[in-house]
Amino acid sequence: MRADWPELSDLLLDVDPETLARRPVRRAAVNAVLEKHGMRVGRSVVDAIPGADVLDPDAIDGVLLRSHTELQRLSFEFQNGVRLLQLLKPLLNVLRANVTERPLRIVDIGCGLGFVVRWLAAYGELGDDVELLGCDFNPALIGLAQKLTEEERLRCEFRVTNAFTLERRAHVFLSTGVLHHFRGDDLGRFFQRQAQAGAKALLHCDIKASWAAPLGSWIFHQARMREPLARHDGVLSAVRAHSPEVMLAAAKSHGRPLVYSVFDGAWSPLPILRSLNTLVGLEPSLAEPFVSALGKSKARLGALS
Amino acid sequence: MTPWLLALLVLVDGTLCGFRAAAGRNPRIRLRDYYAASMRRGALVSVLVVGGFLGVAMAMRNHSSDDWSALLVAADAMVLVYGVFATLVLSALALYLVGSFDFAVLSSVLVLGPFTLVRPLVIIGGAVFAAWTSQHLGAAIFCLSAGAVMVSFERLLALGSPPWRGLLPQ
Repeated sequence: MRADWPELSDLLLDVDPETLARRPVRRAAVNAVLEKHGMRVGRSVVDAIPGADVLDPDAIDGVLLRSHTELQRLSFEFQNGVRLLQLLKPLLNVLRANVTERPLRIVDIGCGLGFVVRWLAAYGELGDDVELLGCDFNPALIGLAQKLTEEERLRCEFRVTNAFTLERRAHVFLSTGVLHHFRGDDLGRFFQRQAQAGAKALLHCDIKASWAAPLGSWIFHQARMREPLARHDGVLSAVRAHSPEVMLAAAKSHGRPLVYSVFDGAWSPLPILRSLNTLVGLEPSLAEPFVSALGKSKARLGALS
Repeated sequence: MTPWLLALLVLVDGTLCGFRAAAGRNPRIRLRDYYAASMRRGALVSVLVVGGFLGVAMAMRNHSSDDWSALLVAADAMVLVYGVFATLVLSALALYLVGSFDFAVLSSVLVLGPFTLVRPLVIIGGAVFAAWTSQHLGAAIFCLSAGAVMVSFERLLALGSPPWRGLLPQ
């Protein structure tokens, strides 16, 4: 696997970013990309999806829904909700002290099945002055996320929409496992659009790039996942993970005026101790109070600049 | 004593198989009852498996004292292999459940994930070791059959009808 290989989930869903209309995915086009990169395992996953010329959208949705449900199991195991709370609670305290507008709006970009948002709604105890919104381009994932939210009576919402063009701006943008989907100019544009959207803070959690990440990811995806697409993309995600330097360079050159750093981004000879890291972006005036609010954990955050 | 220890190990393994068979199949957030039911199902099926093999063992005991002695030798070998494995897994699980966030993740990364992956190999290895140690055809068939059942246990449990079916396409 190589970092320039595309993830199958990105090839199987084609949505117009302006109209949000789903476009048909042609087998020949997907196969051409797989052929170009020599992705033989990926080819077998696509071959299993029904549809002659155009891949069956319902079958694609089924694969993605099952894959995201399996991914959610990993999120539980690695306590991604608790991990995020380590940063989000201090951040919300700082925002409460510095922002008058209410409610404080947290928006999860590319939320998929909305694990993080639903977990925060169920267990986060963020307070009544916080609004949680999950955004994604995939109607099937958002549809199920919203259905589960209503079924479990959670105080959060999901929408098929562009998170950067909401009618009311987000105070905090979140994501989990999204950054590595963007490379090169796309990564820069991702930060540029968030800065333009006027967020006060960003918290983007992703796999920490290291020599151990692909091996560890392979072990867990073999042990825990059943869907071939989930196994394939899970390992590829670890290969594609950005180093802190790459994330920071893209954020700083395109995402001003916010200041940035990476939480748990420091190099370690034993990277299994910290398998995920989080890019933190803040309005400059919030940087100092946020670092103070982190308490003992501030040693894990590099200098904000 | 050894047969009961072995039965206990099967019960623990079956309960954890029940958890894993259900994990990643239900997209809800509050899953305590779902997992409790899945683990009960695993425990129940493992009791049935233990009962079945105990019946065969009793039949062998009635048939010949040599058969029974060979089975006990094989059981010792199995308990040795599976006991070490189970001790490591249960220790990591305890650390995961009661330790801090960092210890929980560490126990998962170092033990719980990798050990799930090698579990089938450990079961087969333990069964082959026990069969070889017993030096007895009947006991060897018994051990290898028990190993085959335990390797396929999680997959068998997943064939049930967990409540996620209404939420996700098959």
